[in-house]
Amino acid sequence: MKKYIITTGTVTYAIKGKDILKRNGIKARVERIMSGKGSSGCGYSIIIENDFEKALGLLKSNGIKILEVNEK
Amino acid sequence: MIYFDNAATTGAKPKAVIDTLSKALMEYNANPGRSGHSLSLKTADAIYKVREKVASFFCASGPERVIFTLNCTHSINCVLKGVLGRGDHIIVSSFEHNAVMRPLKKLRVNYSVAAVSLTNDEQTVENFRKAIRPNTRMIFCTGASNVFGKMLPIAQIGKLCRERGILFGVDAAQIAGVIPIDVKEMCIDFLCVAPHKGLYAPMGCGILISEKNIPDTVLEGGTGTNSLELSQPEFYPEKHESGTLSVPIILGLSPAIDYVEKLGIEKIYNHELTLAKSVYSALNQKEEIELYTPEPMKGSYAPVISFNFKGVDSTQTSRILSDFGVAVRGGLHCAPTAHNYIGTLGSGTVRLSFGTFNTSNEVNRFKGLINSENFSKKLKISIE
Repeated sequence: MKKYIITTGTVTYAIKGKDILKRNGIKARVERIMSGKGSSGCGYSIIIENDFEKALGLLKSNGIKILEVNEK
Repeated sequence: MIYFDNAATTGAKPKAVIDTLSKALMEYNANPGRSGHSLSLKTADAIYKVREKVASFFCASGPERVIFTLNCTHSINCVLKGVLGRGDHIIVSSFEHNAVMRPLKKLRVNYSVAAVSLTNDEQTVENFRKAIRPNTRMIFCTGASNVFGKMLPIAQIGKLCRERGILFGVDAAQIAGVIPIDVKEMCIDFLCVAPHKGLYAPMGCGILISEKNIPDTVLEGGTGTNSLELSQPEFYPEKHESGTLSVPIILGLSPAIDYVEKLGIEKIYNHELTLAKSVYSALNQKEEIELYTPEPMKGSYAPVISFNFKGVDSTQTSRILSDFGVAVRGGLHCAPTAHNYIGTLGSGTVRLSFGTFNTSNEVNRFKGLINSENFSKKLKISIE
């Protein structure tokens, strides 16, 4: 199944984002990652499998800074 | 022991706080924000929930604005050293603790001291207003004197700052958990909290609510993110939280806040102030005792009283009281600025400060003690 890796940087923003998504009915979890090309190293991401566009919209409207988005 | 030293730290902590510390050491013994395993993420989640609770308690704009520091002094240093720059002017009050005055001395920043009226809050606000200059960057003041209990009109001072486009920082060490604090309503940009005092949390961490960004850091190091970059990351709160957090202490904050909320801040304040007024009244009747403020009134004073037996050194009085099983603090209370303002720099004062676990029975025992022959004899011997 496709999964979306939304990198927020710090664990605080990752957890905040995860909680926002969960409250809006989107299953999400936090994982530690090494960020992709051009990034500054390790950090945390929110992992979702569905409702990607809705999730992105919710995160942005709630002030969660998104550093990177990857698909797997 | 009768513990009347709650301004230093609250003498008893709720059982739920103690139990949480123990549980944290057993079940949350991983470093949050560093690893990716389930225990680290579980601990990070638990810490985040405490941030949410603290943010809600102080009406902060979000959990990410809650920074955990080493203690309130560290929080104050973060604000003063992180915000003030060359050419900036700052206004502080005449009751500031050394946690404010020593960083200002180190920074060699230009500062003014606004006199706090013991009886007229409008005059206090006017004194702050008169001290404002074109280059005033911030007003930073205590919420209440840790020596004399006088509460400052921080909501009015905050309003003044907002009108003038000046940053506003508050040392809430003596007021958090004693009066309701709403950082938005009170226009507070930086709130520095000592949770181990009025919030009944364990000693070992401080809180800094940072509604505005603090440009510079006082501590740089590992934040668990952006490791390739040698510059400190800009993300809040991690920007100001380098190194490992005091996880058990922070988790202990949660039941501590629950305790305060369950009892109710108004109920807590009324209880403690009633005890303070009762002691004040008894002290005021004794000719040999000197008091330095009017009777503490609701809304104007925190439950803190300073006094002296005339002609007796305050640390000596405190030692004698300790011999009789009463814990107080004598001396300058790390606040020479306050003592200088009131005129007690030479003698210091004996400070009594009350908490939720103090009772009217303890107050009555204290009154009985200071009126007893035995006590008077010991005091007399100490003078001779």
